[in-house]
Amino acid sequence: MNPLLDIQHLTVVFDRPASTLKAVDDLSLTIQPGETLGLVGESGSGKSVTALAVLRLLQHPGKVTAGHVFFEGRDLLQLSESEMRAVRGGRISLIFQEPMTALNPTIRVGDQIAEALTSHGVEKEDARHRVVELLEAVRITDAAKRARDYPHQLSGGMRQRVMIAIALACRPPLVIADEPTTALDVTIQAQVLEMLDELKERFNLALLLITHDFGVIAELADRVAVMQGGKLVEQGPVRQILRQPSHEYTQRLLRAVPGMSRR
Amino acid sequence: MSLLEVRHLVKHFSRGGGLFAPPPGVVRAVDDVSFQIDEGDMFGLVGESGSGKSTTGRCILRLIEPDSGEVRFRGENVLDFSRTRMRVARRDMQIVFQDPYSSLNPRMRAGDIVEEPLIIHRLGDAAEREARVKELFELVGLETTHLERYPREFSGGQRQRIGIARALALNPALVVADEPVSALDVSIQAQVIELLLDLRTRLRLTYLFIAHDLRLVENICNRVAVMYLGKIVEMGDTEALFKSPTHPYTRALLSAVPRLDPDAPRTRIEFDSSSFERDTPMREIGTSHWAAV
Repeated sequence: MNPLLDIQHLTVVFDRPASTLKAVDDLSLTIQPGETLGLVGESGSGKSVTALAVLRLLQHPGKVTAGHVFFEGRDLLQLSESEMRAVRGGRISLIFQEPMTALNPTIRVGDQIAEALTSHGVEKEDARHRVVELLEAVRITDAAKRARDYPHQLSGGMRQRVMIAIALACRPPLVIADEPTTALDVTIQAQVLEMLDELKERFNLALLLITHDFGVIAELADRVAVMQGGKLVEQGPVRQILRQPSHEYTQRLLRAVPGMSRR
Repeated sequence: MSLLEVRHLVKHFSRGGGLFAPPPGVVRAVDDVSFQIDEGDMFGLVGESGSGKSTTGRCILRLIEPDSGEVRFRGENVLDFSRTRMRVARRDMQIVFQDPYSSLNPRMRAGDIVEEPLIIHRLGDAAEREARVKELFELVGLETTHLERYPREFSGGQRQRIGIARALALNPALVVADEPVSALDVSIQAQVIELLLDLRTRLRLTYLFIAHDLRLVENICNRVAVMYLGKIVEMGDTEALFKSPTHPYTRALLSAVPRLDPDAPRTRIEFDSSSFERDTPMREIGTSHWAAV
């Protein structure tokens, strides 16, 4: 099967007056349709920069200096800005870590979800129905009423559900989730992870799951790629990486997980 | 005798009541909390956001003034202490904060940050303080050549070491560590935890370790209390509590922790907050194991 996403030799540098930093260094990765790839690493390993590069959301001074990002047969790095806008949210969407700041505080959550639809050509009336369906899909009770709430009226877990509803609005085949549960309490995290697992099946989503938490990886990922200092140091099926990591850095990361030695 | 004994500690915050706010109400942040910590204990206080665990820690040091209750340190109730007496007592009870980015003054040099408690408590002359600061830097694994640097020149893990050195400057017996590693990367977390454990043996410290990470607490604490909405719902020796969690909230909390084994059976236990009875008293349910059931 052809991969859905095929990143080849991606290199991203941050050019600063004094020095040049290679944030992503010759990275190659693939994701199959419906597959969940966990991308693991610590702060500064380049995992989030990789996601931004795929969506072409890198801010100056970051820029891609080499490589290809093939998605549905096209190299995203070669698309025009307007073609890219159709891809973002339409074919690939992004779930951010911080549900507090990623939503617009002045717009009702229903309208924020609707915007994801109308900006990709859905009529307003259809959008209204779809918003309620989406809120129900992310298990928000009393969806029609909740759609009229502002973000501050919702709890952190609910806001993250709204973010997920926005991400799913156009039924994209690929969702990139950047630390989707890091800001949440553990019981809320469990609910969101369970929901993501269910939505993956239901919408046949491929997921690029960026996290530093091997627990989250064990819950959701099919395969794991480990990054350190911009480089891919190891990748493989989730069981292999968790049970027999071959790279020294992966072993060190896993040892550092509290409780790993005892459980 | 316990080093620290907290009895019926209460802190309520009023909420609302502004002209346009909903009718005033009370948040029972810490609601009749009692526990004791023995010398040498690593006592874990765990809970989710809003459980009151940090407020409890701060009330013990009187950084927040509790409404009622007792905080007995070596038998004496520190809540009865005058301001002057309390200031002296704080030499023995120090705190390490969660966020090493916001808890250090960005305009002070690292050496001065660590020295400041010595100046405030008028300990030693300049030369003695300088020697002590160097000693503390070495103790927590910082380079003494970095004394002149500013916090921004250090990594997160190093900054937390500065915070620990400052907390240890006055030779405390009890350290309240409020989520000391949750802002750090996982491999750095492990290093800071190693340091805290090492200091515990070397300096015979007692810790109140406030955390939301159950895996971490299970690994390093010998006793644990679980808080929910201002109440301790379960408490006991770490092994007993993790082996046979009894309060429905504890069970739900433990079941929510992701397992590192992808094939482990997932049995989530949900906790229905409407079923929570605040007034159920704690009772002994096993050897050194109590729960409000």
